[in-house]
Amino acid sequence: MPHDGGMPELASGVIVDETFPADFRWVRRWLQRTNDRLTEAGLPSDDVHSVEIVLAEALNNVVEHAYPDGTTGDLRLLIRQRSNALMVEISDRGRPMPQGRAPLGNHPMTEFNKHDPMPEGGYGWFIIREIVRDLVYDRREDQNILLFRLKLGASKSEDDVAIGQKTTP
Amino acid sequence: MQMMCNEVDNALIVTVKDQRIDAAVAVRFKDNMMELTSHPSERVILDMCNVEFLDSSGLGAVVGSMKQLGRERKLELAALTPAVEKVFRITRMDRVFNIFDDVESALQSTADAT
Repeated sequence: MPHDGGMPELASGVIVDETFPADFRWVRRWLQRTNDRLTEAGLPSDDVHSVEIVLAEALNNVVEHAYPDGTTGDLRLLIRQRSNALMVEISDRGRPMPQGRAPLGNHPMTEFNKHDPMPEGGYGWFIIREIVRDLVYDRREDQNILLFRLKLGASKSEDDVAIGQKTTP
Repeated sequence: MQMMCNEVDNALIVTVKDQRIDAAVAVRFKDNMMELTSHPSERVILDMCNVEFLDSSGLGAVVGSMKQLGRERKLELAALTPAVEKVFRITRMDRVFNIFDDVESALQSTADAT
């Protein structure tokens, strides 16, 4: 792919189109390969990290929820690059999402729960919703299809405002 | 999930050797932390210098490890790599932990503690 100085203008094209078993090992493998391909294409590391973070959450969801205990199945990961964004499609033939909708992804601490003031779960969909645009969940015949867009080069954003300072001596 | 620990002054330094704390190993991480931190110490400093990636499961396991320590002991984090730091920042969990650039800074901070 062409590579000039600053933000590379990547050609439209398929970055990943793979079907593989929905288990953690395969997910790790394809997260790594996706990283490598994006890095080779000249994507800044901050964008590569954002992509990996979101993909890990969405793919792990399939691993953990789509196929009930004792069964397994495949998932398909399709990533296409279109000007300054990645179009991602994750599909599987497992169970539908509860209520036929993708979770809202509110921050787990949004509502104070005195029995669990420091929750350990529920961060995944919050993370996805924070990073992606235009997320759509569709159920077609026996397939779950999750579509979303990842805008690239948006690294210097609001969340860089210093609200939680790191401690330095 | 490989981890090692050593003690410096009143701090237990736990170094994660794996490069990923993710859904595949989160439970093992939390179990290992439970075991390692059963050794008493006022502070536990988690050295994350080798960890290149942490997902929401890993985040939950770190939070869970903090809860396991109880109210009297603090879990502090050192040397977060960029992708890991991003997850903590996006989820605002960077405000829940003391986070240091490295273990030395963490250890030095007690000298200025109020």
